[in-house]
Amino acid sequence: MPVSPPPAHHDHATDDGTTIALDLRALPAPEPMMRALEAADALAPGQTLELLTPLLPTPLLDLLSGRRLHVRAEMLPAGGARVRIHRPDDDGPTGA
Amino acid sequence: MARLALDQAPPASLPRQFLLSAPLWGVLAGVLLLVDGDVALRTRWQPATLALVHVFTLGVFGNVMFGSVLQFLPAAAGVRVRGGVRLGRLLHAVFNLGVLLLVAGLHEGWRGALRGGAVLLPLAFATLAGMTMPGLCVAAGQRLLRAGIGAAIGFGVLTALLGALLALALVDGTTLSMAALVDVHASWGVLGWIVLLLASVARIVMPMFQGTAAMPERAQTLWLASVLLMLPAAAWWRWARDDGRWLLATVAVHVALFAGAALWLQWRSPRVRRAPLLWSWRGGLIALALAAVLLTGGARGAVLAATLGLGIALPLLLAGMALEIVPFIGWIDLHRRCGRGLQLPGVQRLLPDSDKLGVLLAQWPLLLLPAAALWPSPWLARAAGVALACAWLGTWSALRGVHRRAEAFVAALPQHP
Repeated sequence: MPVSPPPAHHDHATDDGTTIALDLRALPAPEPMMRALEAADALAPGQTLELLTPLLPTPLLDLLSGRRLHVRAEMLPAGGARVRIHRPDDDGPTGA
Repeated sequence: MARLALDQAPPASLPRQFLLSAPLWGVLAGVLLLVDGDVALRTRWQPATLALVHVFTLGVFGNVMFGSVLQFLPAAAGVRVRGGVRLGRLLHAVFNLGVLLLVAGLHEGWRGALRGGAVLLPLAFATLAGMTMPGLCVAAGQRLLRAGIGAAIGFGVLTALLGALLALALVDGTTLSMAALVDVHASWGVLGWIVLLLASVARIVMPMFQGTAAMPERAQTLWLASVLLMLPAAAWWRWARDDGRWLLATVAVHVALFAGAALWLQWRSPRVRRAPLLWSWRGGLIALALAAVLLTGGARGAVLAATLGLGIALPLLLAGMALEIVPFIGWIDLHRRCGRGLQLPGVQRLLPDSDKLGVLLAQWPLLLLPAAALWPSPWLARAAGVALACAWLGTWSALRGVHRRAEAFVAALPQHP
């Protein structure tokens, strides 16, 4: 019987509420990619999303590159990657 | 670094092209068995047997592995793949034409076709190496993964070169030590190229897709080092001393170790994901372990091991992964085409688990293959051929379903992107 994937670990950690943190490392593929893209699309102007992913999410970076977001990715020494996605103030959350 | 890799990566349609070609070769394997009957399953030296084996190893597995490498390296290993669209499409054409010529040449004894295959196939493997090796050497992190994939591609090139030599020897009637070269070619192809690539990728994809623990780095390193040491040494022993026992034992032990370790990881993981991929891999790994044991059982055991390993085990492992990769590629493609602001179907909706389960259930009649090798008879072999063709037709239809569903979604949009 299929089991539902474990929930992603959410951590809204900053003082001003502009950074959302998501740890997607425990999720089975392709959940990390789907959830990351969903969260990136829901970012409000000025907000930042910080993701921890099991691997460097190259296809995600590829898709985000067409969405007018500022994206920075780095490999972590212990494995996995940290991706920071920032939506500039002049962009809307649902605009194309 | 990531952007650099993306700019140079072949588009998603290229891996998909390889992955969708594989099932069609599987259908051809079924048709060949239907036509040739039990002749193809009696000894390894029959032209029909040689043709059937290469339909599997090159047409089916080769296409899945070329496509998976081109998809996996940039997506999961951060490796830059060189060449772009044109070279990738040319690679697909050269490789598949080479397989077609080789299979036709082996089956019908056509010298021109054998020569064509002997030129095109090493060229295709060398092109794959040229597209991937520079990136594998300079990428950051994932050293064990890159070492395993790089070594597998290296063995793939060597296997293709040895195969070309054997094909040309068939054409010219050269008095090479054929049996020894065939043994080396087969063992490097199966263990060095196919199983080594599978084991390297499995360390990443089993935790990702099946929820297992990862193979401990030390164990994987030891296994890889042992393969890299033993395969050339045992090949030299087979060639120089005319003794094939070490080569046979090297293949059997390393294949059994991989299959046993992967099964152990599946069984001991508390959070294993009970989905069709798990069952597909469990069945494939059990069959692979059994094939490794049978390999040591003399000439009849080798034919039985080949039908089990090439006809059932490796297809279950490789097709299982293809059923995960193709919808993922389709989903990425859909996002590229539609952009954001639309509720797009998830990966699971592009290829539901029920379809994957259907593909998996269609593999059961393939048990006719080892049965036909155990009790050779024309009708049993032909029944196995029908089962083979139907199973691969089902796989092709499921993979094509991804494209069908994505197109239906796009067509239903108010304005096509």
